[in-house]
Amino acid sequence: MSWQFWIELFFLAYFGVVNVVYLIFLILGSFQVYKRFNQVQEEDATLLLKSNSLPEILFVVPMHNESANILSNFWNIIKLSYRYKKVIAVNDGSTDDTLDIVLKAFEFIEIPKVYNDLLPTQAVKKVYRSKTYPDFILIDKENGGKADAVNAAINAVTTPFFVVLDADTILDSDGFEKLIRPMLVSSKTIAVGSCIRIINGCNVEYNRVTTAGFPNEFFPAMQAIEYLRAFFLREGLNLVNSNYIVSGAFGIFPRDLILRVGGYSETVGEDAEIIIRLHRLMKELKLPYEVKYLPDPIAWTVAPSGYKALSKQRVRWHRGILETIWHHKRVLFNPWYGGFGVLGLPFLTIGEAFEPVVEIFAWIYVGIAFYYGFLDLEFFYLIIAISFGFTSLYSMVCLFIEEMTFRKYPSLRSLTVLFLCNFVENIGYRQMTIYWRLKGFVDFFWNLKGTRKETIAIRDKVNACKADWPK
Amino acid sequence: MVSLCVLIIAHRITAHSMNRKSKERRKIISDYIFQLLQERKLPGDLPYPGKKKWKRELLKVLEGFDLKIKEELWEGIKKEMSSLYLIYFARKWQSKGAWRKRSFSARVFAIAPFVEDEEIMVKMMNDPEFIVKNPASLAAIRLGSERGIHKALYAIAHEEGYIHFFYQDLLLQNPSSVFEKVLEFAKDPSLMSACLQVLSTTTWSKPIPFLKDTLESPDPFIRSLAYKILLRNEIQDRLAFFEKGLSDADEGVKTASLEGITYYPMEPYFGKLTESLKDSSWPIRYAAAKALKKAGEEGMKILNSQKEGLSFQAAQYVQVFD
Repeated sequence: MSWQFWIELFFLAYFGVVNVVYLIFLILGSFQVYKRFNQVQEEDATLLLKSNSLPEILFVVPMHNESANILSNFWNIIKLSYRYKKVIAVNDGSTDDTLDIVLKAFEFIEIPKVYNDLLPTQAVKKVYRSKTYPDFILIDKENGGKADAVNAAINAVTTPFFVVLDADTILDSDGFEKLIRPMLVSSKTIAVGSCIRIINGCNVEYNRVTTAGFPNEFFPAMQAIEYLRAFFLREGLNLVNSNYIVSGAFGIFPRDLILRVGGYSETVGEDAEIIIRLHRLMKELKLPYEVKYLPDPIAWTVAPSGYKALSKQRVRWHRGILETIWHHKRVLFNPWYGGFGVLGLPFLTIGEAFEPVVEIFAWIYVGIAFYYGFLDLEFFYLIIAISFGFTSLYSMVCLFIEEMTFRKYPSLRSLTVLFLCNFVENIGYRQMTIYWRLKGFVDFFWNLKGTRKETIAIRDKVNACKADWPK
Repeated sequence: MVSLCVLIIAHRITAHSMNRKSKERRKIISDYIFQLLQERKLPGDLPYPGKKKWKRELLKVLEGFDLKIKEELWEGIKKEMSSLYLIYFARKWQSKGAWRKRSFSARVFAIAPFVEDEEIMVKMMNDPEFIVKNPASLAAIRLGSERGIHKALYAIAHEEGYIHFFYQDLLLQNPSSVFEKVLEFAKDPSLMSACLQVLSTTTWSKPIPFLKDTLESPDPFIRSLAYKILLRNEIQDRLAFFEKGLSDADEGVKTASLEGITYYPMEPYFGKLTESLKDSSWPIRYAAAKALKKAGEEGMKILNSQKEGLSFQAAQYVQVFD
């Protein structure tokens, strides 16, 4: 058989296998979504609202030059109907007027720093407490990145749980209450994530999404479809306890556990890294655990609407994925780490991290074959069908399941636009994302020296945690 | 792809019509209940306009009313409606494989529990689904079931994680029927801390016989829970215990005692309070400063005389925030 045959077989097999895995996760995920939807319908959240003995939950909002959205975010949290909450805003060395805006809006007064730094962070300059909302604390610290800011907030409180929230993310009040129960009822739950939706195009009144709508701009519209697909994949991974990420925009964690594992790490994909580290540690310590990803669409985030911002985000995300895999490469294909070692992380590596490389080589091959006249049309149509066609079909099925359950896009206009965008996505936008992700690869290799250093720091954290863990 | 679009549209139409129907049914049932309440009648006195198959809608309406109305007539109405139209399904579905049916069953029991169903409720408290276990526990506790309360206390004491928040809450929803039994179970050492935890969250009008013993327990956790109870409940020699607690090594006990002495004239404790302002623990410093602020002019003088260090921080803090 000719070498062309083997190359074509490789590309077809790669996309075929990845698609089959996606399909399996979609089927598994849809059952999860349906069950959760029924649970939400069945459960009476008023019992929770009336409760006088629920635990305090800390909302951590790291902010770095976030003056545009920051106030609406804080009002959104303060007005959540869950009563037992504390809010810590961490000003991570903003260079704009973020700090001044927040200080003025909530009448912050400087207070003594009365806690010890259990996790190392950049220097804390000042600690403030709001006079109007006494459970609202502001920490002003030197710039150290998002992970450093979250660690600074963890140091400052003793609440059993904390929620990490991006400064441009707002929450649904009703939905948040329903999310507490899954965290509380099982001691095995070590992290809870939830479905994130895009706020662009939605009606927002009094810092709450009142009517969900589909984004009007091109890039946010494309991202809305991507988010929908990603969410079903994670739901499927949930069922085999192999979820490798709880979105940085919204996640709930037990504070004590995060303290024990050494807090967040200074890496580009800190949200994925902490989850993979938790998987790794729990497996090494032979402890039962669950990382939950719930389909409840409770968090709404601002999607970048310009080319530059989106490209920056995607390059960063892809570099984050690669760095995280690098940090935890010993878990990869290692049956000792169970389903996560042989399924979750390998899928992240092969199905997501290397996907742009394979796809670009596939199209380079098609180009060369066409130029030299040996392009097999059957192969060409097949590759179009299993890469572009499958993505469109997959998105449609996701949309269908979404429609059967939570139905967050109620208007017919939203549905029609979503349907149309689904086809447009493959022409232009898909190629752009491949380019950005390839740039992420370049960035990763460019910074490999620093990544190696961070890998050693993470390994030390893992070892220290294992040594200190009570027998 | 086209068939998916057709399915989506078909689903929209069906869901819309089902929602409308369900709303109409709930309105009919709500109107009927309003009529019963206005005319002060029981369901047997007025014909029910609904149908037997409207059970889910009926349960939802009953749950809605139950949140808002607490009078005796309502208790009678919901009991009779439940026994006429719901309890048959609740008993039939209690051990079904589908969790939604079991959940329905538990919710019916929670709305109006009957003594003859105690066994079922207690059994349902072991359901693997929390969404079933929770209303079943509420039902058993509402009924005042001894086995149900024991199970809830056992879960608070032994189940890992934060599930105890839910059980504690359920026990506190019906404090009068729960109190005597909690006191009884507190004699069991394995349930003692759970009982104290429940008792420490509210004020009881009746005496707690073992409180004095627990205030002197060698276990600091038990002691601090007992001091929390002492804060909310009056006993003989209460002040003496608070006085003693001011010198306790445990942070929880000391903080509760600092709060406790504020209910009495504080002049004799100014020395201790000033000393506590320099404690290495922030909650103790903060409680001492708060107590001094409550003491009035004299206390404020002490707070204002703090010029530097830990005591100065605490003094400044309470003056701004409390």
